[in-house]
Amino acid sequence: MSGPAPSAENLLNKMTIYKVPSQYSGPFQGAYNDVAANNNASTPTWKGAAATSFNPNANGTWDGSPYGTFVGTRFANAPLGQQETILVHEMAHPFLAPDESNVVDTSRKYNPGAGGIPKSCGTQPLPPLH
Amino acid sequence: MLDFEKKMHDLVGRKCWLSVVLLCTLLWAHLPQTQSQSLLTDNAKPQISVRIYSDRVRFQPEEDVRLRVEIWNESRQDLFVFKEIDNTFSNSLAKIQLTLYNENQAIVPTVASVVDSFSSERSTYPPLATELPRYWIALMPGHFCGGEVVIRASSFGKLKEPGRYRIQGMYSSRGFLAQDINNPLLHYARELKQLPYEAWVGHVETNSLTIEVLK
Repeated sequence: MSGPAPSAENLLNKMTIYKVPSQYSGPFQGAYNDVAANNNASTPTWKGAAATSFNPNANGTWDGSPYGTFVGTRFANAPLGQQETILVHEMAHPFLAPDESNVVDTSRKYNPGAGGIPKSCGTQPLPPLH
Repeated sequence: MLDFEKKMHDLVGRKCWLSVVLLCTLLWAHLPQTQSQSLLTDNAKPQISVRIYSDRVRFQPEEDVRLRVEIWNESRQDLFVFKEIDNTFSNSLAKIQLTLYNENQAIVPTVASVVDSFSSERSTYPPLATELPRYWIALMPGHFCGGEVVIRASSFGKLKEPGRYRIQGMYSSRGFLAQDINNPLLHYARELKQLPYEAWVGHVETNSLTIEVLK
């Protein structure tokens, strides 16, 4: 499997999206807890709008097995185009692991603002956080 | 006599001059070193050390291992460290990554997690004075802040197997100026740069400790 389309398809096929809060019990509990904590916090410290857990190889790269993405109220309240932006961003984490700098850098193409994922994928930019 | 005195005066004068020149040369040679050492001392990057402890050495198979973590300010100036110590998410602004070693073979967690807050751009920005203490804490020289980090047996399958394991961590911080979509203080960069002290940035290894998983 090579090239961008098969990679994207593979990432999509291996992704399971979990809404938070919901009943979850499994190997990715830490990610669930972080998104759940944010949803329940009385004074938000902007922890987890979305979290992704995957199984790594010894060198930190994704091992290609199914992975989980947990999304909270910000995702639930967002229009479809913004939800797509969030999910594409989450897919970039296992794809580029363990090089996080490419995924979270404000100036790089995987950022969810107007100049990042929406520009490449035609999705909607995430608005500033309320 | 006068001639002799004049010659002596000239000679002493030359000797004095020579001494002054030698002294200046020595000082000149020494001065830049002293200055650079002083600069290093005053402007050196703030240093921290991170120490891990366990109340126990022996654990049952599949038991979580609770560690106490202390972040010490080893520098001569105040510095900020990230408040959340038990952060193991790989894209966090600051995190501690713990590794188990079994006879020098590294055992990494079976699960890697990342979390996004998408908080670098916000619709309103409260004053920095209220935002900064939410995420960062100032440490005076010689002081520490601490917390607990749990090594979950569910993430380290090896903790099911009896044996001796060495635990060591790597603590890293990207500071409050990190160009990160999840940095809630990114908007305040100009103000943060004017603070009298900075956030610690870098990575440092912890001490190591050995535990035993019983049969």
